[in-house]
Amino acid sequence: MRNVAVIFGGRSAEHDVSIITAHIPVIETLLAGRKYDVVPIYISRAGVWYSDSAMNNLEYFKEDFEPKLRRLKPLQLSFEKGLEIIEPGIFGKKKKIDIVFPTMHGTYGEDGSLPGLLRMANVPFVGCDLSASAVAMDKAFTKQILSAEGILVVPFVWFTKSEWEADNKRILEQIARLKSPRFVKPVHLGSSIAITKVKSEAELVNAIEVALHYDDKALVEESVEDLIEVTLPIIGNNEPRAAEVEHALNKTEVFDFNEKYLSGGKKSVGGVNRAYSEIPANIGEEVTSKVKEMGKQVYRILGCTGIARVDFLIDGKTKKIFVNEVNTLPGSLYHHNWRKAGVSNMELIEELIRLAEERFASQKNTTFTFKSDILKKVGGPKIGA
Amino acid sequence: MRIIINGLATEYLDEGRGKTLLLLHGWQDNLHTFDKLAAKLAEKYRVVRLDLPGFGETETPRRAWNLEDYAEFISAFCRKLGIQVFCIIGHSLGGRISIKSLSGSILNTEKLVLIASAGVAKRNPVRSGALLALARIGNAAFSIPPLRNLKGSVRRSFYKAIGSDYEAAGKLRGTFQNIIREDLSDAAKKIAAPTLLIWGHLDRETPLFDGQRLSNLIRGSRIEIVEGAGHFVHRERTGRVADLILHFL
Repeated sequence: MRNVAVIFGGRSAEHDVSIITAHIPVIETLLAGRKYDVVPIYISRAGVWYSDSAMNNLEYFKEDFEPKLRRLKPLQLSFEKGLEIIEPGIFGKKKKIDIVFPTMHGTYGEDGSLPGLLRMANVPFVGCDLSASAVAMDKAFTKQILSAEGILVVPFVWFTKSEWEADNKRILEQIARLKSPRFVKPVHLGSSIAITKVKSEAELVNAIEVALHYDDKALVEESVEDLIEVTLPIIGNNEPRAAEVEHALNKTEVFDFNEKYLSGGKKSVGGVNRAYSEIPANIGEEVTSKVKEMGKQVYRILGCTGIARVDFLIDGKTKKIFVNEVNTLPGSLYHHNWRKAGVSNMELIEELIRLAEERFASQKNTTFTFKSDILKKVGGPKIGA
Repeated sequence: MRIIINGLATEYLDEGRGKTLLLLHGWQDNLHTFDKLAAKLAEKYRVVRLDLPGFGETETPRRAWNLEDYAEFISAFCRKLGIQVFCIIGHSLGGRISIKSLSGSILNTEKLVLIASAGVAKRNPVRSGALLALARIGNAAFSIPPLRNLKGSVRRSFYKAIGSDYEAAGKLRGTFQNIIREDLSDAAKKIAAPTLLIWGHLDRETPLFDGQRLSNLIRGSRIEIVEGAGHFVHRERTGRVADLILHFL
């Protein structure tokens, strides 16, 4: 059997959510399929890598698992022949990993760091590649790129922490040109962490300080009132396929972290909780069709592969559709939505593995190196002269 | 809601309208300890409460803090929110911080309410000294093999037996030591604001004796004893405590 490594946890605020995504649906589906040997790889909050077959069971992580980790030796990796893990012990038995299924949300995972490492290791992996992941992780980059391609996004202002510290007056003047109320967001964090809706200038400065406490870059954007918030999961490489348009019904002014992941108290139903979603969204055929078309366009523009989710803000009055952000690792892969779209967990996981292998094979056909005599010229006549 | 105070992400709630009441919770507690009380007070006042650094959802300071650090933090919090506090209401550790804040020039409020407040030596100095000496001897003795293996469990039993929060303090142990080391008897004498003390008759953490002593130290203060209630009197007898506070204000 081929070895599939599922990597989860990580140095991220979404560490715990990652453990859920890894198990529901990925590991439990892979184990049920009996086609692969599943190698769970857990990265601790401190960034230490571990592997133990007991980690294939979500129960391992439900209680305090630190004492169990202390009894394990950290995992070693080798990139000599693709990706190999070296099992702790005197003989250090190597196990070749045939394919990786990354399920790490947020920093050091979904932000492109892990895809970058896996590219270097020359191993096929599920989900978006480095560049799409890195761009989608930055809400400002995403908006800038989409806007340049003619996709509608809400007006926004972005700035770095050092710019804010050096000249907040200039930034506040720029923000003043945006309509109120506004949202303040750290650009790199997921799960609504440190996002604030502000209605006054006093609230604005405090909210910016909070956003810049968690990130080195922030954005302020106009709020869409009469909001219908919908999301669209998509899979594919060159031919994206959309699931159903989903309408989140948790209508608080803004979801905070707990509400987004734990609302309704149904902790593990479908992994990341979606108890209050309407699938498909009751927004009419025309808007649904537009959302699906825009979603696929966004997927292509950002160069997404494998899987992603595009979030939209619809103005209920004008029916204008804005793209809000793109998530390259939807929580629990949004498998609840795929099921409604007629795709079972098994079909979803197998398709994602197939897409990973397809991209890997395609990259093999790309020439990345070429011979040159540039080194011979060093110290000789000026290059390019 | 969240705000950055002196570099720490701080969770707070701001409810109601009117003169501002600031509620400070106790050790290993959080702002939600006042959920029921705040709901009653917010009918007539603006009620602001926060998770103190190290507790609830507020970040933990990188070094061990003392009471003055907490008092300065509260002052910075009020300045940033632009609030003039009419009355500060402190429970247990929150009471200590309130006494510290009002005894100097760190914070000025018109009134003070102390609920089961800590801050005056709850046991006699001879006993505290003896316990400290015992802890030091034990620490040295249980550093020698083979007793070293028993150190953890003996230590836990010791602190449990003397009723200390030290073991449970975790990362805040240094802060805990700094706080309990400071006796606020002299500070209490300097408080000029009219003060109401509310005590549960059955309080074991800060016994009624401490409350009566504190009441004697604070000029013109009045103590109200709630029968049948313990240390968390504001949660156990919310209606009664709210009535006492509203009447006092």
